[in-house]
Amino acid sequence: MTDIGSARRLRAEPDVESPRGAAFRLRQKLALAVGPFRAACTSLVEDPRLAEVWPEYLIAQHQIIRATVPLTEVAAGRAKDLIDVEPVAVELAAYLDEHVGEELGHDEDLLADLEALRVDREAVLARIPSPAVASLVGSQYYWIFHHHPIAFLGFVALMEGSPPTPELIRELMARTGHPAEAFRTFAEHGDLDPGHRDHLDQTIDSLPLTPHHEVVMGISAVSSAGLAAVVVEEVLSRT
Amino acid sequence: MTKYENDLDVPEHVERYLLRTVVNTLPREVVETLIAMDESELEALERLGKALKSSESHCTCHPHPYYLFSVH
Repeated sequence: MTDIGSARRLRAEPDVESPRGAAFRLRQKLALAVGPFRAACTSLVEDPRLAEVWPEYLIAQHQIIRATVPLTEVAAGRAKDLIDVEPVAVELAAYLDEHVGEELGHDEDLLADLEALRVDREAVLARIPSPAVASLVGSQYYWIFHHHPIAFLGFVALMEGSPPTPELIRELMARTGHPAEAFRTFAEHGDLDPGHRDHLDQTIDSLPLTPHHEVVMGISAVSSAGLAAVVVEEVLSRT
Repeated sequence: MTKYENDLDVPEHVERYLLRTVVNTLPREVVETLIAMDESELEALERLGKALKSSESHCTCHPHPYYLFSVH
């Protein structure tokens, strides 16, 4: 028998305040997985070519975000298909229907930000999304259609888990020299996403989840964190 | 079944994961999270490559500033 951790440990104070619900467990799993994504975000911000790279990053974000509403609608539809079969489906469908309203128009907002950087929308829409973007979004379609729509909540937990702060936006403006009009989507998400994140966490805690549902959300969240990192790394390597 | 700090039971699939990745420098709450994860979740985590090694999520000190953000 091995005593793991007996030799050298970094002890942390127990977080006795934290509720130990399903949302907490999902956030803990994500915390283990976001290292590469955080490293990619840091490389992006610290890149000396950030002014040049930023429009490319926004184009990749647009390619992801333009799928948010369709993905949510598909997940809601699949949840409704399961209402007679699974107790979790009723509340899941209700959350997803509401979530569609929270996400409407964000893809258009990003196109407007890009226009402020003199990148016209036709050029953005003509760009072929990379395999990493297709994998990040496409894996959600696969899990939703072919396994269970609860997987989508792992993706949302990642994407809404780290909204841009006002400090970050000020730093991005200073590093790029781009106008505030190019950061309207970031500013809006900085305002809205903390509320959306809380709404998601409350929903996850209120759902009658099985252990299997939690595993599906966990795999979706961990996988999405890895693919989100690849998307940013691709932007940096392409530019 | 392995013991962590004499009271946490570490399933074999978690022990295998730890031995392949970060061995013995994790704080208790990280081990608790790993123990709560299914084998397939750990496989997804491992596929991230060196996620745990490059992550500072199990460390409260950040010698270098970092950024993490996403919009949805």
